[in-house]
Amino acid sequence: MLDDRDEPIDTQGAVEDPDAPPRSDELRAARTLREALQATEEASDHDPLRPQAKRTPEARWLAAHLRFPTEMESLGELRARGLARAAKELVQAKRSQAEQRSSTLRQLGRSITGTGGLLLAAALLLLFSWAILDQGSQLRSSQTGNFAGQTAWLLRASLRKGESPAARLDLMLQERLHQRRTHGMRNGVTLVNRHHRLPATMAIAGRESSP
Amino acid sequence: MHPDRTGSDESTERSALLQREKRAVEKAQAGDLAALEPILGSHAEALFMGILGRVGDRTQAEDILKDTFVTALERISTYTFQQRSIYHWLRQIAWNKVIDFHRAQGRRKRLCQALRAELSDTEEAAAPLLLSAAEERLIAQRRIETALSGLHPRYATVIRLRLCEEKPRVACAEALGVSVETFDVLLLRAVRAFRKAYGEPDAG
Repeated sequence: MLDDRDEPIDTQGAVEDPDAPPRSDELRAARTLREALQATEEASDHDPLRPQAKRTPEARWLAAHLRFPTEMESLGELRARGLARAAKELVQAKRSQAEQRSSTLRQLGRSITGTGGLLLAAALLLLFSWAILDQGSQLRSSQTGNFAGQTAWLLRASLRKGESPAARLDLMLQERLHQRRTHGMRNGVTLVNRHHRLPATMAIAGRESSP
Repeated sequence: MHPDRTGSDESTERSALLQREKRAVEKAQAGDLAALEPILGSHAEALFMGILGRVGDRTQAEDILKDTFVTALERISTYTFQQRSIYHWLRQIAWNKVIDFHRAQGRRKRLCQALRAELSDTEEAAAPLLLSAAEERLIAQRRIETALSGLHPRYATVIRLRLCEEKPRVACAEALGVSVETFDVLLLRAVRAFRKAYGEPDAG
């Protein structure tokens, strides 16, 4: 649609003869307009209770530009109050909805913060346990490596001396037993057999007292 | 009852009205929207007349009035009370709603411009404190008279009789001294001339 801001008011209406004989197309258009304005034909149009939704777009356009309300078309005190109350109730409902929404969001935020804190604490605990376990396994693996090195050294020394296999085995068993004993005393436990661990002192005492 | 009338009674009444409005606005701004309800109700009639004169349809006018009240209640916290009725603020909101309505209907800008000009008039310090429903009717009438003054006098008469006053065709034809069929053609030409004056495409 064009903008009419710069359009001058058309004076054609003032120039042409209003009473010139009608053309056939004008007669047709006049009939269409008459039908479009049919709703305003009855004298009871000013009745405030009469619905005006039946107006055609043409009639609505003309009414918007040309119709001034009469005294009979007053809104009425009751309707006026009703509209004011309806507007207030609508705004109050909107506000309560907005408050409800914001409180829900706040609750959600609070629960997210709570859950997040809990998860963070759990993660920290996990990290701490992992660090301890990792340290322990490192210590164990270094000890294992040390034993293996000593066994290899004993084997090489025995071979160099030309000892008998029985003597070599005995030497290695003794050395291994000694190592186990000293390691058990350092750690507070001694491996007596595969399934039972006892404190080192008890293990030693038990062995000395046994026949 | 009109607060702009001269005389001590009117002046007292006016200041009482302003005080009542001021208290209601303060309460509403504090969160008590119900306090503003009677004030809105008291201005509803005049606002309705103003809107109806620019929309032409009662149902639409009521909808716009309700929207106006909703917007006013929603924005009451932004309203600054001056030494005049809240009516002018409500009227501004209503006029903006009417402009939006015409825009949505695909209207050209001439009508919207006229409405905006009315808005700027009411913002002047010399503007009346309050407009009654009768005065709003009069303003709408004047606006239409101005629009018709650019037309051929015969066209203006035809439009005034049939569309402004909404008289039946027969009565209009009698008043003009022509047959009903001739009146129909006259009305068509008048409407076309009026539409052209507004830059609207000819619907005929």
